[in-house]
Amino acid sequence: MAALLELRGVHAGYGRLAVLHGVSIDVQAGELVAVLGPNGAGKSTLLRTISRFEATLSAGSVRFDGRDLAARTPEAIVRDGLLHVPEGRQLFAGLSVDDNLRLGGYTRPRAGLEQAVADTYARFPMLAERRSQEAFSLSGGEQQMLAIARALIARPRLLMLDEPSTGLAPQIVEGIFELVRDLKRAGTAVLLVEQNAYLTLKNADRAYVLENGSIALAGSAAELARDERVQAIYLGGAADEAGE
Amino acid sequence: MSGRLRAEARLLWVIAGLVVLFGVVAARDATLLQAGTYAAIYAVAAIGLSILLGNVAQISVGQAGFFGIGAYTLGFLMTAATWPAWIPVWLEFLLATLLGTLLAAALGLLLGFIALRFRGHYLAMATLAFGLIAVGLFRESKALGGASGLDNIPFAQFGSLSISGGAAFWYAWGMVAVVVFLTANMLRGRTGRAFEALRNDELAAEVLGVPTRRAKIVAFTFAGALAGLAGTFYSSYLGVVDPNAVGVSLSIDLLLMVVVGGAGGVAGAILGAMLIGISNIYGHNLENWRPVIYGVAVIAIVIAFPRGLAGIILRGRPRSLPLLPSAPDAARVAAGPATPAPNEGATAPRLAVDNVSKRFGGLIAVDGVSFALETGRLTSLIGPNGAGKTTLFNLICGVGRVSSGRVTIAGRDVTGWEPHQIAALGVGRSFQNARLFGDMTVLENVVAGAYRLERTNLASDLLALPASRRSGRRALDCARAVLERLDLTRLANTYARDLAFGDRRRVELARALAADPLLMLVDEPAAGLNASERARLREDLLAIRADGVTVLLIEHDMRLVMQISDRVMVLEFGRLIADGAAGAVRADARVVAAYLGTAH
Repeated sequence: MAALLELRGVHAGYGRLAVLHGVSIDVQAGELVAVLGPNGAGKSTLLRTISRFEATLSAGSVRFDGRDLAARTPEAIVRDGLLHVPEGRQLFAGLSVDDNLRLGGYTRPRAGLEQAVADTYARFPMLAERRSQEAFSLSGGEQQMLAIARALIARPRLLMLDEPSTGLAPQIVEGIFELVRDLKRAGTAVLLVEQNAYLTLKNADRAYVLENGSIALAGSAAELARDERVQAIYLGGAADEAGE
Repeated sequence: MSGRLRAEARLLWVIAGLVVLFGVVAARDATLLQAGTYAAIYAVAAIGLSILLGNVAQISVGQAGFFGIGAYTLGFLMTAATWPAWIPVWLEFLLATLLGTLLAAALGLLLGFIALRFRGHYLAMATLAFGLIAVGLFRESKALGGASGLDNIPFAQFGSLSISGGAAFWYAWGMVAVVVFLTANMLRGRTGRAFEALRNDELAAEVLGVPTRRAKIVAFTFAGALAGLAGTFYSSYLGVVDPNAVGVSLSIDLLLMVVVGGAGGVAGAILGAMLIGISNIYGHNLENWRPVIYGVAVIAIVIAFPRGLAGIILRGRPRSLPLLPSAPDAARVAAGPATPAPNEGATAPRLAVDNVSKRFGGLIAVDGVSFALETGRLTSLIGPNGAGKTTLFNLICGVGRVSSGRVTIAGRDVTGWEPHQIAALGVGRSFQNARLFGDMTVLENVVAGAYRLERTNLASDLLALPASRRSGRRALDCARAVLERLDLTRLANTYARDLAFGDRRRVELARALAADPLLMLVDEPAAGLNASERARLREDLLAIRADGVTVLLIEHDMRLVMQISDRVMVLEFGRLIADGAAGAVRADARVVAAYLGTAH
């Protein structure tokens, strides 16, 4: 079976700045795949290259559901069912929770939107309570939930989450991971970029570890959770120094 | 801009030739002479506005207000006021000119303070309001003749020579020459370097020690003074001044001259003033169409030639070396930084942070952090994204204000200081995204870095006194030495915006080093660098430490951090969770958890 998302030899960056140097990854339908790695490794750039948001592809290919994304506009990619929840949530801060959700449904036919919003409130009762509050007035965890809920309204087949746990307290992080597990159970593929390596590996099917814009390690989450090289990549361990 | 000064100087000689030619040819044509004289009067005011608009990136839509202050001051003093009998008539005129100019300068200073509170279109509105208030006051003032203004203002009189007709033409252009001399000197001096730096990047300029607020106020004062000077001669030449003559339409005309001629420097303003001054004469018979024609012309010029007439003429000129105060020859090789490694406050730690916190609303970004840095050591500050590292840098160099706690640099409590004051103590800073001055060459960037070592003042700059030239030469020597040491000399004449990414980082380090700093805060220098560039960076950082500079480094490249740090501090959620030697910190369970999380 062809992968839902398929990157081959991707080189990408911002203008003069090259960030990714030949990255190849796959995500199968319904799979939860994590991308780990230290700050500056290129994780966010990877997601931005896929969704064609700011980062530009200079070589290699990105295919979603068999389609070459290089030829598609960012909004067409959303219509294809590939949703990106960027780092820092990027909510419409001055708009209400309700308006944020409705804007998430921008690509949907009007007919189904009311039902989708109602379903979202049923699923996230906390958002229903705050439906007329402005987004900036929510707590960090609530904002993250809203950002994910806003993306879900567009009925993604693949959801890309960029560091959803950053800056959040442990029990809230646990709530976000619970949501991610639910999504997987419902058959939505997830590409998750995270700093929190151990918790991510506990939940993911497979993972890639990026270092300086290249894939340093790849494998099943269970294998990588036991691999000491992961820690060395994050903290510049002894294994690296031997290679200098 | 300084890169263009030489080409601009040639253009100015051409303009001077044209003016002389015009003066000779038009000697018998009163209409032409008058047009030429008006052009000179407008040129003086336009030069001030050109500096404001093009060199400092501020706008004023109220320059006619200053023009009016000059015009009315001279008009009043030469008609209604009684002068002591011992003052000769020629001196009366000069004193009235001086007073009008000073009064306009004083109001320019005031507007400068007000302008600091506004940006962009709000600034335009505020200055427009200033112009409207000025005209309103002139109109309401009985002493100034109300709506009909002042008339019978005598010509300036030097002995038997009356400054009218041909004499007025030459006098006015002489005034332009003096203004060009002073302005060009100022732009070539430290003041001009401060303007250029702040126009490119205010924050980066500030952390190099450029008092950006003061520089803007200087520009507003200067522009006000020149508009006032122009106004004084205007009323003496025309013999009358009324509120309509110094209303908003004059402010717009002045803006037009600068935009059409090309903002920044002096040549564009003069060209613009010549063009509009002349066309005003011939425009009389199409009075109603004038605004339409002007409007269309301005839109066309702004679209086709955003740098104005001067931009068209100077385009394609080799953007040669900046005309910095010395003409350095290859033989002179500067020997190291201008001052030896500084030893002020040798006993106190270079940096002590004492229980510092920073709150943004409900978020605590930095939470009770305390540490002191040992002199001459390289300390790294690491931590996950959002831990508060850059915020802490901002607090140390004054870009952000602490919510509580104290920052001490070389024994001095700098809590609450402005960034440029802290920079002046010898604190250098580089930014995550390498904030170079894009429109300046590498050498000019690094010269700007030496700002804190410069010793001159505005008056010396205006008159190009030896102090101004010495100061510039010293900054230039420092910059060349630093470029040489970091092996960047080959890039000296490259514009910063054209640099490859890796070079941008190193030029930023060079710029900070040119200030001969005690302490350097380096923010993620390795981000986006390839392996060989990283190796190079490591050498640079070690060389900086070897020079006795205390370094605080934020970096995510752990390999680099572990290799070069004397000490590593770890920040998480705004708190220091570990502090010690690299190996010990790496093995610390809390650090591992901060970076990799825990499984539950």
